[in-house]
Amino acid sequence: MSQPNPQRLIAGVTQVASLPEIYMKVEMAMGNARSSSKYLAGILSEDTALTARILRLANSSFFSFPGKIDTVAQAVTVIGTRQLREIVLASSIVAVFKEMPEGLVDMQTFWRHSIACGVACRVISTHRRETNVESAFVSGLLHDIGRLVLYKEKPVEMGELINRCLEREELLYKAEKEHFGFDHALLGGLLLKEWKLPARLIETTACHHAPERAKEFVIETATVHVGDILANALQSGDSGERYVPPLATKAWKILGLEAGAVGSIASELDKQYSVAVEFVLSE
Amino acid sequence: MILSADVKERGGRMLLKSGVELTEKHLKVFKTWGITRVEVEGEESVTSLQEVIDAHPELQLEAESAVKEHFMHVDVEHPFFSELIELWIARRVKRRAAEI
Repeated sequence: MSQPNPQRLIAGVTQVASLPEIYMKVEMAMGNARSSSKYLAGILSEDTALTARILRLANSSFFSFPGKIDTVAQAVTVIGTRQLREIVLASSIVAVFKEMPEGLVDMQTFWRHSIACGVACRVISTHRRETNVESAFVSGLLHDIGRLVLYKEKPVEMGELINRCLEREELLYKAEKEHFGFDHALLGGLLLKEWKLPARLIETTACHHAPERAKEFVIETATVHVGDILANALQSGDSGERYVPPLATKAWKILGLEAGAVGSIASELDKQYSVAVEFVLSE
Repeated sequence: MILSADVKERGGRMLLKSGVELTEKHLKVFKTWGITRVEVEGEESVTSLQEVIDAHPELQLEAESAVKEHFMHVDVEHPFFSELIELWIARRVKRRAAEI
């Protein structure tokens, strides 16, 4: 059997779905140095569902802000414009794939794994005292996006691969590579590139199973690599991978965390997970 | 409650020294600085794992064999995984015990 062209698989998705207009508008507003947070709040207010989410998030334990936030403009100030851009992006991408028919995988379970990974990345970044922990969340959230492309474009073959991995006790991402010539990580990177998303997201997604290949965003990629393992080992949700993926020891070293931190990372992950699930998956 | 470790903000600046008795006012300051957890003196809460295992020794065996499958592709000797697996077993045993 001839191997499929990854670009063609991506086209199968991008031709039927594009990122929502609201994301483009936010991007344009962010690109313009003169646009105020009030202007940004105005754009966000056009989308009532998103507005509700943003307010819920601003008032959640994620930000632990004393006092109630009841306008989008206030929320923009609390959450910060940079983080807000990431949050709008996350909601937009989940929305794109909500439109797709469910087949092999239950979308809720798929996103639960992705959210757990996002939260794990956020917690790791907090432990490392990074400043923009929200972008770590989004990197984690999107890491397996390529798998959705495979489920949509190659449902029969993916079904067979999943079964084969159960029978032979193999890792799905390795089986993908063997069968298609590339894995979901590479495919995800291509999709995000096609959507012209930030280079950081492209690299963390494309290299999350092979963090040593990251060139520019080494720490961010190591974070997603370890976050994926933690999510796989500790949380509900299912991306299709049955076993805990192996650790690239170099990536672990780069993060500079003590093994003893695993316990506190795990309990923080539990605490933030349900808030994040509610934020991303609630209508 | 008495702090058992220094509290620092994200940039590393000291907010409160170990040994200080916590008040409501301190909690407000932590919230403002986005500090979500601090370490305090006192014993850890004990829903002892050992007690659960003593009552249901089969759960320990079940969890250990499940570990072998779930973690079959990783280097279990790596300190990261030693910690993670210990945690995983404890959680599984407690969860299963709660279901009984």
